[in-house]
Amino acid sequence: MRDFPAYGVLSGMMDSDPNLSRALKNWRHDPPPAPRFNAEVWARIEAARTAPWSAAAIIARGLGIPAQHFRWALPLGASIVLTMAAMLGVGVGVLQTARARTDRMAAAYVQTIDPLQMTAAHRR
Amino acid sequence: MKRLLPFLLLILAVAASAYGVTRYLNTRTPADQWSWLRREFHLSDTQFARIRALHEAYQPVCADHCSRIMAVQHRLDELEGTTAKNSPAYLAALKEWAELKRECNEATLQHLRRVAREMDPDQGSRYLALMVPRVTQFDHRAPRGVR
Repeated sequence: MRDFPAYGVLSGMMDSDPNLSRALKNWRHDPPPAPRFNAEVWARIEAARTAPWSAAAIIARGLGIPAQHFRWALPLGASIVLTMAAMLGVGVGVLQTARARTDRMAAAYVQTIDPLQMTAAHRR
Repeated sequence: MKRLLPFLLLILAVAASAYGVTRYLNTRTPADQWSWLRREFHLSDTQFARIRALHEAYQPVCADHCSRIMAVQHRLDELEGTTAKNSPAYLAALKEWAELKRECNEATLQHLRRVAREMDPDQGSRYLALMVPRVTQFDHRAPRGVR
């Protein structure tokens, strides 16, 4: 311990001032208990629980839904939006494929009955 | 709010994937024109049989037109190489070509109308609306320039 200079200083001070040394040994800090400590902690926990984040809280308020219900409404809404996106993609794909197939098939069919297109295809 | 952008990207990715998979799966299935025609215009067995019969009956007419077109085009090709483009022979061949195109177009359109009459009226109208422009708007001059 003597290798640490700070300890040496403190030790030297305590050695040199027995009153200080005694006062420090007897000193105790007893802060007064905070009034409503538990209640305030629980109030903050409840506030965080009912308003998960600001955007959700704003939307919930706008829709008139209590924030604690909105916690469940948000994932549900996200799932619905994703399902609709998938359905939209499938719908557009089906429509475009149908249109392309109609074009291709109609062109192939006409080529079997139009001699001008038949001979043009032959010449190409 | 920091989750909004990834969520929007996820929506785009889901929609694009669904679109891509649908296009891929639908284009993979081959279809022949007859089964397509039957399905597309909701043809009954009787209607389909009559339309096939009309098609078969039209084939000799079509083949005759084809051979005449080939002959005239062959003659035009020869004349283009040997005579001037204002020579009587070349002009006569051009006139014959124009006549033949008109005749072929008229025969094809007549066949289309006959086929449409075998269908239900609304399907027949749809059939004509789909097929007639493909006949009338076909650029018949293009093959002559392509050598």
